[in-house]
Amino acid sequence: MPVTGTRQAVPTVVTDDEFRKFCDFIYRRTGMSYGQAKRYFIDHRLLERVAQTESSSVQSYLALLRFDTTGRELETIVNALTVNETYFWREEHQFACLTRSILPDIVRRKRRGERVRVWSLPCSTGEEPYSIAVWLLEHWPDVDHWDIEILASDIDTRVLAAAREGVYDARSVQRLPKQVLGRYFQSLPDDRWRILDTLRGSIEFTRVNVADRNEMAAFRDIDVIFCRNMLIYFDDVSRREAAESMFACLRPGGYVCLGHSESMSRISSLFDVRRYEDAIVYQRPFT
Amino acid sequence: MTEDNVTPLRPGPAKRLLVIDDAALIRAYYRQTLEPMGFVVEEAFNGLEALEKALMAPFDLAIVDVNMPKMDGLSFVRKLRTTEEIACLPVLMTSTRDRDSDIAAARAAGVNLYLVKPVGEDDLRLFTSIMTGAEIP
Amino acid sequence: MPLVKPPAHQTGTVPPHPDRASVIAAIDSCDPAVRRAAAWAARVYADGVDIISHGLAVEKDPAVAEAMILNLVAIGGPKAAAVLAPLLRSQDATRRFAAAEALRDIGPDALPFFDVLIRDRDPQVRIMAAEVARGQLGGAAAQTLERLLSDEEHINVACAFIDVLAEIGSVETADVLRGYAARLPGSAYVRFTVDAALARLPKE
Ligand SMILES: C[S@@+](CC[C@H](N)C(=O)[O-])C[C@H]1O[C@@H](n2cnc3c(N)ncnc32)[C@H](O)[C@@H]1O
Repeated sequence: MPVTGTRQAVPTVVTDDEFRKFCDFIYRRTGMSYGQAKRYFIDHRLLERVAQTESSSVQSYLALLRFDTTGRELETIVNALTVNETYFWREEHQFACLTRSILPDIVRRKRRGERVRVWSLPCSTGEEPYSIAVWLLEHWPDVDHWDIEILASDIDTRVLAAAREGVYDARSVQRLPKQVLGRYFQSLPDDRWRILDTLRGSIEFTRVNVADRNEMAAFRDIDVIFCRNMLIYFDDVSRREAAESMFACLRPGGYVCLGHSESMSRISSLFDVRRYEDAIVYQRPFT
Repeated sequence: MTEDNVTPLRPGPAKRLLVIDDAALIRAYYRQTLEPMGFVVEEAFNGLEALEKALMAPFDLAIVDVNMPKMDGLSFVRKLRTTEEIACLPVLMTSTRDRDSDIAAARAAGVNLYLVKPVGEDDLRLFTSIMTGAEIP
Repeated sequence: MPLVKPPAHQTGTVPPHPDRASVIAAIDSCDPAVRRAAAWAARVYADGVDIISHGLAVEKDPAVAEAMILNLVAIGGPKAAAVLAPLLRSQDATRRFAAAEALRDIGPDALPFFDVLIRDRDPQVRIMAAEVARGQLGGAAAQTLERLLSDEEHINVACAFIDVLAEIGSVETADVLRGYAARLPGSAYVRFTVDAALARLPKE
């Protein structure tokens, strides 16, 4: 029974044990792995949710999280924990590699009428999949000969909503050439930019947890996966699992592109390394 | 470690070595032994990482362990020999295994020289110099 | 516009989980993709370890074996560790290391197997067992390595122990390493390895 006038003290510390339990829970659900180095960040986010859910203690919040069958609290806390940093034309040399080397190799093996399927996983607020779309339209001479599907997924439902919205600030678009900005974006007040509706409408955004094998099983016959700057937040075991899941999502001969500080060589031997003019990428073998 | 008796290489562009071993201490041993002679040493943790590095920049010699995770030394050499851009890279293999059959398997894979671990400093310097065409200390 | 949206049914539809009988059948399939999927599906069943170990024993495809080992780790426990332990003797280096890595990731349940394998007669097996000690087995594994190091006859095995101890050892490890180096004063290789390990160990 709530008593008016008296407010329960809001918990302000997370014990070592609570920290461990919480990290372990998040790790098992998402693959994201945090050490003591991230303690301050985690404690802060955790206490914020404890206060917002009006839990009487960290313990009781953890219980709420564990027994919430709707999954809504998990979603909220995961949204709070993810690092969503991204921008247009990030590591554009990989997009150059896509149009100059990867796609020509892929379509050589395709019949007319078959689709080219590219998956941005994780897509965060959409800069990556929209960059891919714009890059293809700008730089792939064959673009009109093929039907191209661009899929985009992330675990964080907040960033997916933002991605569907497609509105970006100046920082996010600063690497885009002026003409490209003019051609594919509509200028909004306060130096913000909205991606054109035709592009917005052509990309399918879905919530996917890479660490969930069942959710990943819904994606098959992909030609190229961009998996950039996510595995750095995982530990060894979940990186291996993610690599294995992606392998199963790809067509034989399909490619994975990782972020610049990431390498498959310490994760998995499933893929062949390929050196192209613009980038090092990983290919699912044919047999 | 005394370094005064180390003969520097003859002048010219520094020879580049790719040292491939999963044990950090062994990579450090190679580095410490060979860097004072003027070699440039890059490290890789297993065969896959080595392939990546070899594809990104040219090397004069790979010094490869056999027993490594994800891609072992023999698989690395086989892959190397069938990868066009890097097929000619000379390989010195080091191994804890000393049976004739191990050595034959290494030769068949395309290894140029096989040494049984532990490789002493003098041998390491000598064979690295010979295989890179550097002046022999 | 050449960009097309995929039909909704192609993304986000989660296929139903196969039942136990079809998983058991699938682990013997001649299609590697089917075997790989079976390895993943097996993890939810109580006898998942048995199903996977049955497949792993005859598995030739490295990609499928990798999936099987991954799922043994996910199931965890002493039974999974018992399936992995003999693989340290595999002739295939990738498989041996995958097993060592998996035992390491299984954690404390792997400790009894580690204790036996680290004393194996075959030096190559002792080298692989040392790999298991990297990571989360904790102080017990480090102490075992320290104790065995003083009697280790094989220099390559000793150096493998030292490489692992440099990573997981404690302040007390330093004396053990110095003791080993003192036994082989003539070897520059040992001296170097020990010095480099000492530099990596925690001080105080
Ligand atoms: C730094 S962003 C990278 C965005 C983009 N790929 C790039 O490189 O610019 C990392 C994203 O990974 C997502 N993420 C983290 N764990 C995930 C998981 N288990 N499944 C799917 N997405 C995940 C986060 O929500 C976040 O949006």
